[in-house]
Amino acid sequence: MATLFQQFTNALALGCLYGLVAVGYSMVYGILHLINFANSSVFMFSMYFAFYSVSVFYLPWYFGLIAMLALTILLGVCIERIAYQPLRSAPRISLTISAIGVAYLLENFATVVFTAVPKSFPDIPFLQEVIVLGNGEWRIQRLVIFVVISMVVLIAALLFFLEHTKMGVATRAVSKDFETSQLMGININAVIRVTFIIGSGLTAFGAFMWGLKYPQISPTVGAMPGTKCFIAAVVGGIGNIKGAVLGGIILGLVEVMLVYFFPGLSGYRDIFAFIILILILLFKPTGLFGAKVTDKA
Amino acid sequence: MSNILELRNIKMQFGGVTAIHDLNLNIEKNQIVAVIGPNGAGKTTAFNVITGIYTPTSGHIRYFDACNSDFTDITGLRPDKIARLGIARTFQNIRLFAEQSVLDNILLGQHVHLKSSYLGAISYFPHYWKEEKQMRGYAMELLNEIGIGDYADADAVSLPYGIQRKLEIVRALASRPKLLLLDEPAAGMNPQETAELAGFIREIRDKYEVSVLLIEHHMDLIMEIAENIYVLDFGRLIAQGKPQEIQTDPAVIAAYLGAEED
Amino acid sequence: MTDKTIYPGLIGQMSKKQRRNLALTSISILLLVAFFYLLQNGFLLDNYGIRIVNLCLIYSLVGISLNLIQGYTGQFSLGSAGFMAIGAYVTTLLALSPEVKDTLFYLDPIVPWLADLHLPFLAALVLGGVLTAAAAFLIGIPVFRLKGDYLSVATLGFSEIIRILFVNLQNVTNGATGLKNIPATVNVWWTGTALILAVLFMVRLFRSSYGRSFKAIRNDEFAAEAIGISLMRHKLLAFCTSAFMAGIAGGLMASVVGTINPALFRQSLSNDILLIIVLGGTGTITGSILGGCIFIIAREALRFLDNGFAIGPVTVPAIAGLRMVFFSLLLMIVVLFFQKGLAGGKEFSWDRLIGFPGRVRKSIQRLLHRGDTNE
Repeated sequence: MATLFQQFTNALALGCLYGLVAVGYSMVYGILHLINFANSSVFMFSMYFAFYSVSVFYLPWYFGLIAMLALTILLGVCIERIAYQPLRSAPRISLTISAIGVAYLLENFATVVFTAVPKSFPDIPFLQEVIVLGNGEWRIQRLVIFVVISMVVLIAALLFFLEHTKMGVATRAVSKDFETSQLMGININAVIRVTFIIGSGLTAFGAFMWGLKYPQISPTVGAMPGTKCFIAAVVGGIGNIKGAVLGGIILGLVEVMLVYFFPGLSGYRDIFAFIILILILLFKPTGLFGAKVTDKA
Repeated sequence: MSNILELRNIKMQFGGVTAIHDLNLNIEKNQIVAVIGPNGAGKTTAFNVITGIYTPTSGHIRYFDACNSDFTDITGLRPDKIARLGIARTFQNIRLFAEQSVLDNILLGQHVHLKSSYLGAISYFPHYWKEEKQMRGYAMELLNEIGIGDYADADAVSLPYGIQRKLEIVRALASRPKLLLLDEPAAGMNPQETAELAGFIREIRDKYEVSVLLIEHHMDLIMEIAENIYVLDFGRLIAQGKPQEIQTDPAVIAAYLGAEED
Repeated sequence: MTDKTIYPGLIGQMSKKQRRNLALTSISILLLVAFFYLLQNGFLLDNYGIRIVNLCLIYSLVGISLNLIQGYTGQFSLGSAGFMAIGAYVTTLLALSPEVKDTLFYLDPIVPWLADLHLPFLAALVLGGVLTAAAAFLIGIPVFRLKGDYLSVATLGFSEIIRILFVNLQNVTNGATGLKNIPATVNVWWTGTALILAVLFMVRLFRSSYGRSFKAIRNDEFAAEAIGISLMRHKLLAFCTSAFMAGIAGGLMASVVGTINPALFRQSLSNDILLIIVLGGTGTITGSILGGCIFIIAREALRFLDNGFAIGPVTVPAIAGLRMVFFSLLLMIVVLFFQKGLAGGKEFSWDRLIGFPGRVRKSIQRLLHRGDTNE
């Protein structure tokens, strides 16, 4: 029972992490109709930023987190400005290809700058400490609590931003109807920039927590979590924030709990996300919470 | 006269919105039938239901299949299967294959009837050779008909607008249909071009023995060529009859002039 | 368009230009054969060079395969790696002798039905292609209910599923360790023939009604269905053909590189192939071949960047991976500024090649002329 509890909290933390990053994918897709493949590389860079701030420059972890956030957001915004903005009027496929190209470039760049030798994510004893509950059987890592709380706070803040600020309302409008919003005088580029700031910020948070769970950093580290978070966004219904969070949690729970109940499946762990993806696409392509897409004749 | 297409109690709902209420419509063989009505009356929806893009919420569509000389129920069949049975259409906003040549567009219209298999066609077996030659012959015949045989190799979109409209009709004809659906064929045409189009539609009806169902806003065109007119308003059939009858029908006049009859 | 241009028929009926083109084509085929002969017999390049040529031809083949489904039919697939993996594994498992298999599967013995199965390489290769096409058929039926981005994500998903299965099916694929000592049967004759057959196939395909239908689906799916083209059937045909080629390419690659393991067929391989066709230009055979060759050659030719070099007084130290950064920058420039790719979206033809100097002269004249009016 105690191990089940521990597995469950792990699953929940992983799910919240997926959910956070998924929101970024979901928002970008909602506005640009772009699967931001470059985000896996942003995720990877983000982990290196944390490594350099904490392990090399000896910043305390909370300052390290802030530095990592700032640098990741800068990277995300630069990518948008350089690789996506020039393609606004190009066919959508060019945008997707550009995103894949950026991912490719960043991965190669990381190999040169950081070398292919894996580095290890800084230890943060405060977060990695295990809290013992009750008679000593119930254990929970402080990280788990941190992940869940920061997820709830961040998403609440994001929802507040979208509902109650001028920029947030503009963002929702652009996501609903790009052309009309443009005609109504909304500054599309500003909205897109804000979307990328939010997306990259959430990615940095996700990367930070991922690093604490799986502390090995290499230039290809972002590929799997990046793809899975995108899948979470699709599962929840792309363009929908609550959906993305829920999709992430579902994915985290399925991944961890299936392996817990059927240890024989541990080698197939990475496959579950893809199977869920394909099942969702086939039976409910708009995701669990996606808006109904009307087919234009 | 026997019917080629019969719509029986067709109802089409999207979510809570009913686009078509209980539509009954008949098209006789070799007849030119028009569907008119104000914008948003459900005309294009009716086309989309007939051609299989939408499956009606209720009701049936029966089509007289010349192959086994009997009616078949085509309700909810896939668009390509319906096209295969001999119902071809054009679109309100011209949908030619823009990046392909004029000739290719017409040849594509004939792809439905291709007998050669995939590998057979690629290995250029004599059988395919013969088919391709036949297809090209017929395509050139059709292109010469509308006087653009010399532009066979040009990109389809490089043609003037009016010719593109005609080309789309000819592409539909290339599949040797029994029933041709034209969605606003005269849209954007001047009176002279419209008059010319009227002659063209009648000509192809006679020459290729097709029935024609058209949606149009140009009343002069309708009055000139339609033999039977259906008037839709807010998805309901409000009148049906010969052009002269429709012209004097009070319900039609009310719908077009927007008379209040709450 | 006269009948003659479509059915060249006998040489006697050809126009002067057609005869010239036929002559040029024949000469270049002879030159190509001579090139392959000299290459194979070691007169031109060493073993390393031959390996590069082989890889160029193989990547061109995969480029064509992806172009068929994406460039011509308009169905965005990110699953090339999965299909190459199936082709590579099937070919290798069938071509390896039972003794070698015995030594390879030391962790977990190979399943009995596969242990003694041993086919000549050609048969193994073709079977690899056929099974890949069969897999594409099974994947295609559900996947082609989707469009656009959803389709690309689903193909990516299946490709990853294939790879993860290969990691886990220890007693069929030897798991993450992979397979070694693959017979080096494949030489330039094999890869060259495969590519030439693929090009011929594509040329024939796009002169036939089926090829036209594929293009029509790319142009306007909705209109294509309305004129009676069954979307599912035609997409599946294109997808299976594309997978067949990718499978063959995978099989050839296995023999050229000698070792395969699931990590070789990661998502990044699919991305490489996508970038190849973008580099050369989507929707043309010329572009696929150009892209494939440039991709492989540039990767090798830029190797000097990794080893350190000097520009005048500045000495750049050896930095591993620098060439890939340079190469990816090159690629981004093409993606952002030359969206039609290096081949410019046009197919190679003798007429274009011969007309090339004239066109250059004309555009220079136009430039000069514009300079005059400006001043």
